Amino acid sequence: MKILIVDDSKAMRMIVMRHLRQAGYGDAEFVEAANGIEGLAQVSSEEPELVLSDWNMPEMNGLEFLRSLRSSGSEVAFGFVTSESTPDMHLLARDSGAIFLIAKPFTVETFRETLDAAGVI
Amino acid sequence: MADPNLVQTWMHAMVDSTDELATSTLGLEGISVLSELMPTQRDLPGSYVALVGDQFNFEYGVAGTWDSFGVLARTLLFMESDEELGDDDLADAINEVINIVAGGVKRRMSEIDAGLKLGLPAFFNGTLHPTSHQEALSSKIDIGGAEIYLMVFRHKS
Repeated sequence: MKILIVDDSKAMRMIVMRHLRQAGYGDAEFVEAANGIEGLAQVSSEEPELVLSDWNMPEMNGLEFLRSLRSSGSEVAFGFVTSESTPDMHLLARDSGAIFLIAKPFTVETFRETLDAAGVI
Repeated sequence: MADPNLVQTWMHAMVDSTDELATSTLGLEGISVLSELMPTQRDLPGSYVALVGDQFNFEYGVAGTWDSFGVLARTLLFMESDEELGDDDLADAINEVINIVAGGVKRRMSEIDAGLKLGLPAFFNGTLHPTSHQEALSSKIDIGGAEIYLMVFRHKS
């Protein structure tokens, strides 16, 4: 499985990858991007099966990234991993085509349960 | 009329949010509060982020020595204490700490100010100088062996 992790923080991309490996996704291939613009290019070139994206990023934020993906016809599974997680943002994420939103700070169990519930294999 | 306990309330939310980070992603027992509600610390490096709402405007920050930030960053990144960590990676990790902590504050305080928006964090190494238009507080904590300061600045309306 190929997973694209989009976050402007290199530290957070490392942390997410480590948590995913511990959550049972140790065989996954990870690709990275630092914002939505780079994320769009990576989706096009790498064709990931899952995108995990931060919300607050420079250049193009996560919500704009998701909307650009969907307007281009991409149906790639998409989830947010973000420090912001108000009920309004959960609703906005779902309405825009995300299948889940993981709030920071998270645990390995958070990833395991969320991805299992979302049917992401 | 200004609430004299307002900044304290928002500082307590920050302490709670930092404890949540410690006990979840960092896998620690929790944080220890060493000193509460002190004047802000000067001449220390730190990461800061704006939390701006319809009613309130805050800057949240974490400040500490390079050594304490090294301990905290290595904990966050699951690195050994003797592993090499460059300044850019350290600053990136500390930026992520304040980003997560301030996000937790936003979640806790969104019922008080539903319009809160979180900015992007920035790392500074210099002197902080709150003006007469700002209220400021800090609390010193121990998080995984790193002694750091949690800082809150409120812009008076």
